[in-house]
Amino acid sequence: MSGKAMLLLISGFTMLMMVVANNFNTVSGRVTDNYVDYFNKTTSHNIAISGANMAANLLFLDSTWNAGIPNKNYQGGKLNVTVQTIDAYKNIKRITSVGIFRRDTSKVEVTFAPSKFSKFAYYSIYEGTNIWWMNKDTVWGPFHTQDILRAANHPVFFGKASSKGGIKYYTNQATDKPYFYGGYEQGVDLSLPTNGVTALKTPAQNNGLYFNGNNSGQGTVYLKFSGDYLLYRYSTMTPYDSVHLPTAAPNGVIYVDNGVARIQGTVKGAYTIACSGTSSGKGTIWLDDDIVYSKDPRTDPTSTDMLGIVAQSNVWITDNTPNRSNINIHASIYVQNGGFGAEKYDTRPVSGTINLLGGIIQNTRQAVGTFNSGVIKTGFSKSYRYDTRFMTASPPFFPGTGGYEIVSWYE
Amino acid sequence: MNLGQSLFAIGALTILSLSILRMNNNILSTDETVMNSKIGILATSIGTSLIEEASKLAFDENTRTDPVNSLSLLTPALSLGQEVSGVFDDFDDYNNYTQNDTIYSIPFRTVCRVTYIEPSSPDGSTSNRTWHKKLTVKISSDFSRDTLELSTIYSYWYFR
Amino acid sequence: MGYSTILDILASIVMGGILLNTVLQLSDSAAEKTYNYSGELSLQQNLATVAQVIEYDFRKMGYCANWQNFPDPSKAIAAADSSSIKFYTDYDNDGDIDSIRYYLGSTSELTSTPNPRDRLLYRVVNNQTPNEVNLGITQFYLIYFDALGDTVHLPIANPGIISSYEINIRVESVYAYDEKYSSAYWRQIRLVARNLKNR
Repeated sequence: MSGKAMLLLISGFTMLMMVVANNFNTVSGRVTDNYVDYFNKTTSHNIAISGANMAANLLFLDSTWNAGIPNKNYQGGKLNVTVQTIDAYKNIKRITSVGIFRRDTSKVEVTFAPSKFSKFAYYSIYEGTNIWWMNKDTVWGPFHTQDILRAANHPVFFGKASSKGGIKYYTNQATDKPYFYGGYEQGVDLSLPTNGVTALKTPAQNNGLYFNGNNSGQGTVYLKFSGDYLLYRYSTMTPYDSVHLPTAAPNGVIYVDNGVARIQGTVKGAYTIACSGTSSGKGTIWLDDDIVYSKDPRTDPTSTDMLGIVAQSNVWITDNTPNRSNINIHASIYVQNGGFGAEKYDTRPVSGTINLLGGIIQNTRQAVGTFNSGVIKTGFSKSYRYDTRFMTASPPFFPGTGGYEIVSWYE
Repeated sequence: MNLGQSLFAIGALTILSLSILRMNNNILSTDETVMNSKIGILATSIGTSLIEEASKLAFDENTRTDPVNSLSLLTPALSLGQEVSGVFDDFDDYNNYTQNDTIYSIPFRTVCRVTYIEPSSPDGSTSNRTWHKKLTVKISSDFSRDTLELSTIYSYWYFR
Repeated sequence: MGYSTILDILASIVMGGILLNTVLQLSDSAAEKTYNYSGELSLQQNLATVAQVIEYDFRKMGYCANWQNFPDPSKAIAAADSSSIKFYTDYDNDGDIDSIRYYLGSTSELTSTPNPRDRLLYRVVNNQTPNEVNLGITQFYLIYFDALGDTVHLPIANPGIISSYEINIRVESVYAYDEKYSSAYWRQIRLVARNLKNR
């Protein structure tokens, strides 16, 4: 009897152990499932990111590329990239990259929109050999230079900064490195288009306001914005004529062809004033006095006033009496061949501050005053503020970069 | 105790022995599985970190401070790797890079390889210079028989 | 004859004792392993879950389905600390910008589990009631880097300086056999939210 009893006892014990072992097997299966699931998700994500990278390169090389990358094998899974135009009018494109690995799918969506120069708070091609961004310099919006970024004693950049060249430090990185509050990228080539100004001629002739500087006696045009009206004349000896701007320039473009423009006034609405010409001072826009918005967007966020100043040669602050005590400028300034500066910056009297709300896009950085040991000696000091509306909007027909920018990345 | 009872007893002891052996095997194999899974998750994390770290860098040594518009200006395939030992300033510096980590006494060994690839065949590699590089990361551990492999493709582009 | 009987009895007692001891040890081992494996399973599941939730949220930092509602992704991070971070994202993909905040609670908040080191990880969406994540997290800390790859020192006055970051998470089992807690560690070095590089 004792043998049977033992057998029964042991059998019972064995069955209990089988239940425990079954539990162990379940745990084995579940931990493996958990790990495999995490690995699968990670791999499908890597596949999708890889597809997005490849597609971004193809779009970078050819802005018209729309073939997509259909069904490629990668990492034991599948890669599928499509390109769609989600807004044909604004030419907004989207790359969708799908990575499939076993049962997991990951998606990456990258949205591209045409890039405008007006989004920059500061852009330059040449910085000059001995002009440094210093601790008192603050750029409040996106920044780019085709030159090397010369930094001394921690200049501050609140928007994304980029440069074609790298960074050069006055002493070393520890004492001079810039504070980038919007990120930094180098090796970026973004040149000015050769027809940035002249491209506005046709829109001005068709549905804008066109001044022909080739006409005799009309080489220089004096423009004064006055609300809905634009006052103009060709000589200071003659009275102003006026046009109702919304009627005369419904597309917002005012173009001075091969001439000189002298502007001032209060802008109501969204306009771009362009001035072409390269010889004998032509293609230059002079700021004879303040040029400001009727509604300052800093105090009235509903303001739709917006101005682009687009010059082929230079934009100068005139050395005259109205500009002797500050000058207020509300505009995004674009200069194709020269730069934005102050006339006779090194001899004119101390003239206060340039209060700029907008941005400066120029070929060559120009001077606006001279200093000695931090004390201004001639010309202007600077207070440049970025108009944040330019992150999403631009003045009419303002020059574009010809390429795209990434406006959103979803993964 | 007669012979039958003795045989029952012997049979019972045999069953008990087998049961104990089986149970120990089960425990050991479950231990191994649980450990492998844990190592797998940690290894995936190590691999993903390395990929993310590499993806922050410039595409090529020659694109670090200047743009490049010709494939011939990129680093040749045979020269992919660190230009200066210990300095990681572009994506292909991770070519032939080995990293050793120890997490909770578990040693991990990570081996990286960077190659050029053709977009038409992302699984392969090419000795020609292209605008696309693939980083393959293999993570192994002495405590696990599995070697984990993760990979990503990094391409040259900027939009501004 | 009497001696052999006593010897038989003694031997059978010894053998029986050995057998009994073996069986008891096996039983104890089975009980311990049952607890440990359950704990280890929970631990690994928790770790994978936390990793995936964090990756999902953090990769969308600065993203908005309607990009014009959030045109400057450099302002995506609202506040950042070593064990907390608040950032803007469009978590429900509806085109409106939302905020997500992660922060770690104190050990004293979680007294219902035997593990004295585990803490609640809070995830707050849009200033709603915080969601408590009780997954055995004992450590959650972040390290931040600027655009040039240098570490950003705390406290951070302007989170815009952050260009990338490193997340470190340690997870332990909430229950343990004989107070031997299992643990696992997850780290994502320099997880870059690509939206921070836009525009």
